[in-house]
Amino acid sequence: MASRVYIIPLWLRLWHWTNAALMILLMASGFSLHFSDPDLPLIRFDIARTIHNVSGIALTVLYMAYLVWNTVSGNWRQYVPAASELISGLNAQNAYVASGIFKGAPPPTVPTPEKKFNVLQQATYLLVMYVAMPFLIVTGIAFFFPELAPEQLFGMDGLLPLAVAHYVIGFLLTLFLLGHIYMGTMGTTALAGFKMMITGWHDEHPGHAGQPPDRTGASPTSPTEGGKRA
Amino acid sequence: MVLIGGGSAAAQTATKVEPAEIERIRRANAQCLDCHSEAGLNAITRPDVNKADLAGRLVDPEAFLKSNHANVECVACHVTGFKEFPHAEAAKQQINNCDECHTRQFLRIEDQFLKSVHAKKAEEQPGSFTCITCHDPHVFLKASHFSTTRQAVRQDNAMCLQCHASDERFAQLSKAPLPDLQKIHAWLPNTPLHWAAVRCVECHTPVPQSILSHEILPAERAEKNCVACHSVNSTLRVRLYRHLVEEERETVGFINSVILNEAYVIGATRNRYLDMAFGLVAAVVVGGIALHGLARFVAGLKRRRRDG
Ligand code: HEC
Ligand code: HEC
Ligand code: HEC
Ligand code: HEC
Ligand code: HEC
Ligand code: HEC
Ligand code: HEC
Ligand code: HEM
Repeated sequence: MASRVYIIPLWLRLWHWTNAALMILLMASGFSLHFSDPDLPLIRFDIARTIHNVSGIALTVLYMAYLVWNTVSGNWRQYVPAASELISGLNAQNAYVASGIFKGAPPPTVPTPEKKFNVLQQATYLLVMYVAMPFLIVTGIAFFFPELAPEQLFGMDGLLPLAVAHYVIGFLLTLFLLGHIYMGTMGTTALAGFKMMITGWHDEHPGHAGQPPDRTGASPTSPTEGGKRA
Repeated sequence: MVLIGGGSAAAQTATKVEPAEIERIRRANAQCLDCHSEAGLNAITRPDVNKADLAGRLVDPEAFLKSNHANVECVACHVTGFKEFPHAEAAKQQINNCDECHTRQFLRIEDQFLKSVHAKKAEEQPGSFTCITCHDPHVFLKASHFSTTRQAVRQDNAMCLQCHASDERFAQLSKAPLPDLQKIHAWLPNTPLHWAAVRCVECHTPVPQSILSHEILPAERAEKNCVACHSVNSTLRVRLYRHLVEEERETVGFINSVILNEAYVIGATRNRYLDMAFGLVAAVVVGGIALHGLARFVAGLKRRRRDG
């Protein structure tokens, strides 16, 4: 009984992969700028700067579009963890990552159109998309106008706090990306998450697991544009 | 010539001029400045002084007092004939060249200057391009004596810009049209920012051995490599910031902290501890993921074997 459910609408998938590509470009070029070394340049300094600037601006525009789409479609509600589930959800998720997954247990939650994410995903996506990304973008845009920074601050160049903030947040997002990709392999199968993000469809039939996944976590949040069943 | 000898001794022994001697020099110079300054000119009542003639020959006393030559008598360079007014005609032909007081160091500088791209012009039109063209003896202050690097950059770039940003000045020396600096340097991002933070000579002279070289290189050999400055081993350490590097104290782990006091230079002014901490955290995360992944893989194999 192969059952598929359509969860990620096209715009979200297009946004997601464009965003991922831009972030990877930004990380590689940002790394190269920060650790610039004449003897072993990852990307030549001036080229890295161009890549970083162009992808930075593209990311800013894309992020604006994402904010609009996410608001209009109501998808943002998916990112808000229900207070009642916060502790139990995190516990279930931790137990799964720490032990369940090794025993071949099914994941505590599976994506449905009504509730795509577990609590851990909700909390991280909320922080990443609504705190870290705006911070990254604002410090990045400010970096375009270094001459507007105060000349000196605490005896050092005024651009310093901005530069350090941009570096720190860029690094945290790189960590997020590592964890995010790995967490993507913890769905019903190792590849189910990636398939879903490409096709939009989630395969509810895990293939090998015995029990049907527990869906009691699904709360009646507003459904997104997705939700077709096959 | 006694005065010149005195100047020479002072030039060598730098800061060791007696306070009483300084007092004497200031008083002597004040007599010249009674006429040769903006305030002096306005106050003059003597009928024998041609104000129009004087107006084009003024010295800014404030700039002079801040300059390297603050403690040099006017007449050490301008000879004693100027002590009288009207000035002795003979005196006007005489002026002591820089190397009458500065010898050793200036010989080396002269060699470098003769190799620079400007030397041919200087030869073709004698007097058109000399030390004084760039170093106004009444104003010039060595870069290391400014309180901020930016002020030094402003002074030193103004030397080049007097010609390279003026059609008029440039045409006096060259028939070629004045190249547009903005266009030539279009490959350099945010040129106004760079020109406030570094000097033209940073890129247009060879890496110096001790003091800055006066050999302006042909355009093809100018520095175009960003990492010459934007890296840990920034050449700014031996150029613009050379005089500060000796006293460098690393500030809370910042590499090139002498530069950081005045400019955040991507790639050159980063923090050692922050970089190490991030490297460590990244290694732990990657390692953790790898271990978890491996454990999952092994557990999966075992399960499969057990389930047949
Ligand atoms: C009473 C006013 C007065 C005093 C005092 C005075 N000058 Fe002058 N100076 C002039 C005037 C007027 C001229 C322009 C006419 C000329 O060249 O004689 C001039 C011209 C000069 C010139 C330019 C000569 C040239 O080649 O055109 C120099 C150099 C100079 N003075 C130096 C000095 C020095 C050094 C002192 C102090 C020791 C001094 N002056 C004191 C009024 C004065
Ligand atoms: C280190 C040497 C030096 C000292 C000290 C010095 N001058 Fe001069 N001065 C020069 C030189 C060199 C010139 C010629 C500049 C030129 O040809 O453009 C000059 C030119 C002048 C002129 C003529 C400017 C013109 O536009 O024709 C005047 C006037 C003058 N100096 C006055 C003074 C006075 C007053 C003092 C003292 C406060 C002084 N100088 C101290 C080296 C010196
Ligand atoms: C009458 C002698 C005399 C003449 C001529 C003279 N200077 Fe000087 N110069 C001095 C003295 C004295 C000092 C002060 C040394 C110090 O304070 O370090 C000095 C300092 C300097 C310094 C700073 C050097 C350092 O290492 O701190 C520079 C640069 C300089 N002069 C350039 C020139 C130039 C360029 C000329 C020609 C236009 C010139 N000088 C002509 C006497 C002279
Ligand atoms: C094209 C412009 C130009 C010309 C011409 C020029 N200089 Fe310089 N000079 C500079 C610049 C720019 C500096 C850098 C300022 C600094 O480091 O103090 C400098 C610095 C110096 C210094 C200070 C070096 C140090 O750091 O201790 C001396 C001394 C000097 N010049 C002497 C001369 C002499 C002598 C001549 C003539 C042979 C000359 N300059 C011609 C532009 C010029
Ligand atoms: C007195 C005027 C004058 C000053 C001051 C001056 N230049 Fe020049 N410069 C010229 C002229 C004129 C040419 C063109 C030479 C020619 O046509 O052969 C030139 C040419 C050049 C070139 C081109 C060389 C090439 O390969 O074509 C460079 C680079 C240069 N200058 C740099 C500088 C720098 C850096 C400074 C300041 C330290 C400076 N100049 C100060 C007049 C000046
Ligand atoms: C970051 C390094 C850098 C700085 C700073 C810089 N230049 Fe250049 N400049 C270059 C390079 C590299 C070239 C050669 C450009 C090329 O070949 O495309 C050049 C070319 C030139 C030329 C030659 C134009 C021609 O005829 O082709 C002049 C003149 C010049 N620069 C003047 C200046 C002046 C004046 C300043 C200071 C205001 C300055 N430069 C600052 C790197 C620099
Ligand atoms: C001569 C040294 C030098 C060279 C060569 C140089 N830069 Fe810079 N650059 C600086 C300095 C110093 C600053 C800091 C300006 C400030 O913020 O005060 C800077 C600032 C910048 C900035 C603004 C961000 C910041 O750090 O403040 C960018 C972007 C930049 N450089 C890119 C480049 C690129 C790309 C190249 C090569 C094409 C290059 N630079 C070559 C010295 C240099
Ligand atoms: C830093 C860049 C990235 C950011 C900011 C990001 C952010 C997000 C967000 C917000 C979602 C939820 C989308 C929704 O609203 O439905 C999501 C889902 C997903 N992303 Fe990313 N993403 C990034 C890069 C990547 C990369 C490079 C991959 C894989 C190579 C990836 C794999 C996935 C997967 C599998 C999902 C499905 C949901 C899940 O399993 O958590 N992402 N991502």
